[in-house]
Amino acid sequence: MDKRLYDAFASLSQTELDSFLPADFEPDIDIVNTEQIRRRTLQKAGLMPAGKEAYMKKLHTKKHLKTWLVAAALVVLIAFSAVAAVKLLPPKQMIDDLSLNPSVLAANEGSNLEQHSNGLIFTLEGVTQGKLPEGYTFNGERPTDDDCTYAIVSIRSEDGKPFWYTDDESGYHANNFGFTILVNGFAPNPSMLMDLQHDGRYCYEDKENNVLYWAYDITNALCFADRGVMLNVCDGMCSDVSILRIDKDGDFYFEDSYPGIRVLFDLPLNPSLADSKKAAEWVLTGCFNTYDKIVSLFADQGIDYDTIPYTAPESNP
Amino acid sequence: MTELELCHLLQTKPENGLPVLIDRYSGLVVSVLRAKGCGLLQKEDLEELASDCFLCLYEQRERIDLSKGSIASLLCVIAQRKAVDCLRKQNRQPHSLPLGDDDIFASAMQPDQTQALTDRQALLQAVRDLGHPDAEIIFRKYYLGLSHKQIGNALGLSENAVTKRLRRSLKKLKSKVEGETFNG
Repeated sequence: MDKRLYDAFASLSQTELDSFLPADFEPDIDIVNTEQIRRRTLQKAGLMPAGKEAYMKKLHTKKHLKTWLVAAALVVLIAFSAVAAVKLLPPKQMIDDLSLNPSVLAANEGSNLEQHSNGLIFTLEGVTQGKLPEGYTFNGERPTDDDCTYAIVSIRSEDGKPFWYTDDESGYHANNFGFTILVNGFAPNPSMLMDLQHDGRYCYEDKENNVLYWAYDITNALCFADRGVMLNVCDGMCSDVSILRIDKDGDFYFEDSYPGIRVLFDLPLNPSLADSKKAAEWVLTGCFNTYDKIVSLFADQGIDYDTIPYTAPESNP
Repeated sequence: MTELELCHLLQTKPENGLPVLIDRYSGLVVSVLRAKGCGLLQKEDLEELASDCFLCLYEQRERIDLSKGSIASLLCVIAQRKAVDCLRKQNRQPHSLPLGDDDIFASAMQPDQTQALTDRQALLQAVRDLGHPDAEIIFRKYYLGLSHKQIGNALGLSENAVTKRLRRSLKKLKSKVEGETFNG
């Protein structure tokens, strides 16, 4: 009977499978890295979020060119030190050089502009419109755009020491930080992130002062300016329901057992930028679910949205 | 999100639908790949094949027809064939799975013609007739290749209970199938 059953189940058709697959089937996949599967699939489909793929290529290239680059940099530094001192942008100037547009920024400039999490300090430096200074294009595959609006977040460690690595050592990687745009009243989900991520994200690594600057494109979220737009920073690519959820009052909260980075900035956007027609289009066509809707969608699958436990991502090999 | 909504999202906004698809079905796809790979596929193979499965469905998203079956079952069929193809390329011998269909998606969308034997159908029907949880125990053991302990954990049963139920189910199946063969 064993052999007959193995043979019968060996090549189930789609219709036959439907009669056996339980609706709430939850297989365990502790042997693989789900993040890796997602990354590989998005790469193959040409949908890798801007920056990540380019960063991996750049990292590979960096290993080969490192020695030459160091030598070249030394020559340039010695020969033109006086000129370089004037031309190179110091970190503070990297921020000052951004012409913060008063029509984008709200008067109160938001709240909780500096947040501490997991030994790191995250600062919302501001929101800027237009092309970024050159230093910010390190991880951006596409050039930054005049039409884009960016939120600038700086990250440094509480002890001021280096906290990210650009090789394969353990610890934070410069590209390990995930950003998710949230709109007040709508449940966070990866699909919304893909919707609202307009052009990508760009990183500037200030190794001299151990500060990482991220510029995140928030152009698509401007139409929700009157509703309240937030920027979440977490570990990995983006947050999901096991990390960050919405409650019945429409407020966001982190799952208790989530041990990673918990940062949520109120973006100081000028409400006059809101575009209700455009916002309504997003809500109609994208994955924008209110609390009641998301609860009912999960209930259809037999899952209680409010009690979804935190699921740790698979560790990288 | 229901399968219908997911299907709609994949077809209208594929760049949004794909991450949702991967998040939801990675576990299922990897389980099938692991089972059909007879334990011969390494971790890296499983991850690569799983991404191939999602890519296959993504590229053929316009052809998804939920009236013919769910997205979950479609992914299972794609996964089982990908696993076999991979083993074949590595010159290893998988379980007795049919080989040689170049258009995985097309064949996955149709009832399997190669093994449409009456006794096989009768056996599968007999398994379905066992009801819950016995049919699921059989499915998990013979399709997914899970151990009694893993099945017990998933269904909230002790390992002993799974073993007993399985033995009883096999007895029932044997008498039913042999009886039908004898009567037929």
